[in-house]
Formats: sequence, structure tokens, C-alpha cells
Amino acid sequence: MFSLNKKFTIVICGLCSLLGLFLIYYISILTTPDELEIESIKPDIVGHFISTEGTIVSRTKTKAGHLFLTLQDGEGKLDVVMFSTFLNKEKVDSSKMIKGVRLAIKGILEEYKGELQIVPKKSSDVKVLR
Amino acid sequence: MRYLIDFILVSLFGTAVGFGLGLLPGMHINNVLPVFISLSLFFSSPMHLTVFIISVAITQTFISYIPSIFLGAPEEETALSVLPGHKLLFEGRGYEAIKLTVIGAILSVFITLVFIFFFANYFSKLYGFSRPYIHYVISLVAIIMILSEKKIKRILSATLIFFMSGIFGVLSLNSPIVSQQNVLFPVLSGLFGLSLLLISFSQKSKIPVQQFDNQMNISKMNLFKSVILGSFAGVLVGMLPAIGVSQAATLVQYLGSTGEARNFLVTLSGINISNEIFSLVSLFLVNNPRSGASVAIEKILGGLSANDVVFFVGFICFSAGIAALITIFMAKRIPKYLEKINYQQLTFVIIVFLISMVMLMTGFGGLLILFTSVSIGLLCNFLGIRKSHCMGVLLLPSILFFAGLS
Repeated sequence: MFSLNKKFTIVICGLCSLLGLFLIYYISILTTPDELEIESIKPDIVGHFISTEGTIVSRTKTKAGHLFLTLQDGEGKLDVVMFSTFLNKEKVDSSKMIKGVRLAIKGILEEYKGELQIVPKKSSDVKVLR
Repeated sequence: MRYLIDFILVSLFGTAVGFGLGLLPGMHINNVLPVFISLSLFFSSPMHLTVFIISVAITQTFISYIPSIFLGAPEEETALSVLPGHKLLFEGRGYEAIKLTVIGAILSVFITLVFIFFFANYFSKLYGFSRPYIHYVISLVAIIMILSEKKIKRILSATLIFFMSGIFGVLSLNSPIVSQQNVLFPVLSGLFGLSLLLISFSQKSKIPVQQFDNQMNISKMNLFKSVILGSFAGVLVGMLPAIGVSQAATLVQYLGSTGEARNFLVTLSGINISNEIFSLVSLFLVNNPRSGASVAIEKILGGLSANDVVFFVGFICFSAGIAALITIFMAKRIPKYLEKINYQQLTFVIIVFLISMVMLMTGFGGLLILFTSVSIGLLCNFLGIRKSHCMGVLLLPSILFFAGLS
């Protein structure tokens, strides 16, 4: 058995912590989302990073500036929530996101009040296709 | 009468399942709710299934302190109980630690119901009023928490750990490498559980002979204060999104001066059960499910009437009573086994079990998160400062969220 010097242990732990933080950041950037069709998105993958696309079938913009969209593809439907802070900060042009337009979206799948939704975090997470 | 006996049997079945789930570190009711819902055909009615889920949720809240305190293997809601619980365990007062959580929880059941009955409407107004200032309150608590280390070297170490944990929280809680459903398991297990277990293992810790007397070394005044604060904070947690049990416990610990191990265990269990109850009835109170269990109930029943709420409150009390008895019973038996077995070997088995569970639930991404959280947790231990600074992992993301910087 051996005993470690306290200062040495602190340095090792500190370096491991920093290495871990760096790796989490780096791998997070490199991680690509699972490409899924809306129909195949089920509650058992809530929390996963996914990308999908669909046609906007409903659009509501609140007085506070939040935008709520519903995408449809085949039989499947998925809600997309864009808060006003996101729209303003990321300078997202929501005027093109109207009914009938096809939208590609990526983000972490969430469940709110029993409905599945994606809340994008960066402007590159939302793309108007046509 | 037959009708009621059916429900009691279902509730007892739920208590048994909650007991099993509570003993397994990393297994939260949210992980198995989809399975429960898919079993609806086996229950006579949606009401029976709802009673089952309520009983599981309440029982698990009580039982989960056993692995947290005796084995150092916590859940999200019990992460902060590891240190005070372990401290009492190594003073030979493990049984008292569990009794404190049970008493805190049982008293909070009744106080929470009183709070909800009289003040439910005011809580939503309080939320609306306080929301713009919440990040200031959390920041103030973080500053008090860091400054409470008193000496300049310790304050600097605490600041380092707070921000390191905070950055770790921001990265891991937004990272796509692990499902966000399970990410808190490797995060909190590493910071609070596994790091402590590794130190116990390396120091060849032995569980001292445990005392099973009925003495509770807490004054009635402190018990009362901790229960009231815990119940109030638990309901607030139910109201406020982005504030969890652990954040609330840290706030109360410093704002309410409930930091002493015994007071803190009572407060934490009070917050935990109060939050669970409020979340269950939130569907009726604020028409908004606030926990995995209440989302499941909404799916099963659609909504709740006042009569349903009263009926379910009855089963909340029933399950709480049974769960309290089981927890006390187990708390008397388990330390006797722990005294006899080689605690170092047991610690090793728990370490392997926790790592395996993290691998199973979150894959290699979870292992990377666990590696980082253990490193930060160990760093905190070796710097000789309080473990609560690691709560930066949840506090910093909350501050950023409420400040609109998330």
C-alpha cells in the first residue's frame, strides 16, 4: 500500500476535473443528433439529442413574443417552442415560419404536460427548408 | 367496504414496489413510470393505478434515505443527506439519522397539507412576485455559503469548487452526450456519493457499534423550525421551475441556519416529502403537473376533481405511515449487518454497483461525467471544505437560467 502526498492528490484531482470538463465540452460539440422522422419520436427517448423535420401545421405567437409551432410529418406531430429570449438573442427570423412551410429542427427532446417538444438553443438548430 | 379494501391492497402493493425502488440507488420512479402506465390493463380502474403510483412515489421518498445514509449512494433528492447522514453513522448514530428523516417527513406530510389547504392561492402569487428576483436570492445564498468558510484560503478554495462545479453543471446539464432524463445520476453520485465512498474505501473505514436508543439529540424548537422550513421550501420547490430539492435545501441551510447535521436531515426530508405531495396535487391546484408521477396521473385520469384530491390525500397519509414504519424497521436491522460485514468490501461492491448503473443508464458519456464529478468531489474533500459548495453544479445553472443568461 502507498499513501499520496496531499498537495499531489489535490493537483491530480484538479487536473482530472479540468480534463473532464474539457472532454465533456469537446465531445458535446462533436456529438451529432440522431436523425429521426417525427412519427418515430416516442416518449422513451425524452432527453435525447435529436434532429427532425416536418411541415408547420400550427403557429401561435404570444404577446410576450414566444413562438409555439407544431410540426407534422405523416401521422406524427411534434411541438417546437421558441422563447422570446431565444428569438431575440439568436436573431432568428420567425416571419418565415408560417403554416405550410417545412422546418428542420434539432435539440433535446422534452416532455411538457404529456406532449413531446423540442426547445432549440442556437440559431443553427432551426432551419426553414422551403 | 370491498371497494376500499381493493384500494388498500393496491396501495400496499405500491408500497412494496416503492420499497424496492427506494433501496436501489439510481432507480427513480420516473425511470419506471412508462412501465407502470403500460401495466394499466392489470389494474381494475385508472383510480387503482393512480393510487399505486402515489404509494410508490411516497414510499420511495422515505426509503431512499437508507442507501443514502448507510451506503453513501444517494438519489438526486437525497444527495445532500450523504454527508450529515454518514457523519452520524460514524458516530454510531445511524439509526437516529434515519429516524430524523422519518420524523421530518411524517410531520411535514401534515404541515404541507395545512400549507396547501390554506395558502395554495398565495403560492402562485408569491411565485409571480418573486420570479424576477430569484437569481439574486440564489446568488446571495451562494456568497453566504462561500464566506461561511471564514478563512481566506478556505474561501478561495470554496469559490474554486463552487465555480468548477457550476461550470460542470452548465456543461453536463446541457450536453447531448447523455440523455437529460438520467444525467443527474452520474453528476450527483460522483460529487456526493462515489467521492465519499472512495475515501471511505481508501481509509478502510469501519462502521462503529451503532446505538439504537430512542434518544433524539435535537431540541423541540429546532425540530419544529426545521419541519416548518422544510415543508414551506418543499411547496416552493413544487411551484418554482428550475429549483430542485437540493437547491432549496442549500438555500434553507444557510438562510434558515439549519446547517447542523440533525436539523439539516429533518429539513431535507421535509422538503423532499412536501415537494412530492405538492407535485401530486399540483394537477388540481395549479392545473399543471409538476413531477413525473403527476404527469403520469394526468395521462391516466386526464384531470383531478376536489373529491379525487381528498381521496388521494388519504392514500398519501396511509402510504406515508406504512413507509415510515418500514423505514424505521429497516434502520434497526441494516446497521447490525453492517457492523458484522467487512465495510471496506461492501464499499467496494457499492462503488462497482454505482459505476455499473451509470454505465447501464447513461453509457460511456455518463462515465465521462462520473469521472469529472468524482474528481471535483474528491478535490472538495482534499481541500478540506464543506461538500455543499459542490451544489454550485445546480445553483450556477439556476442563477443563469433566472437571470436570462441560460
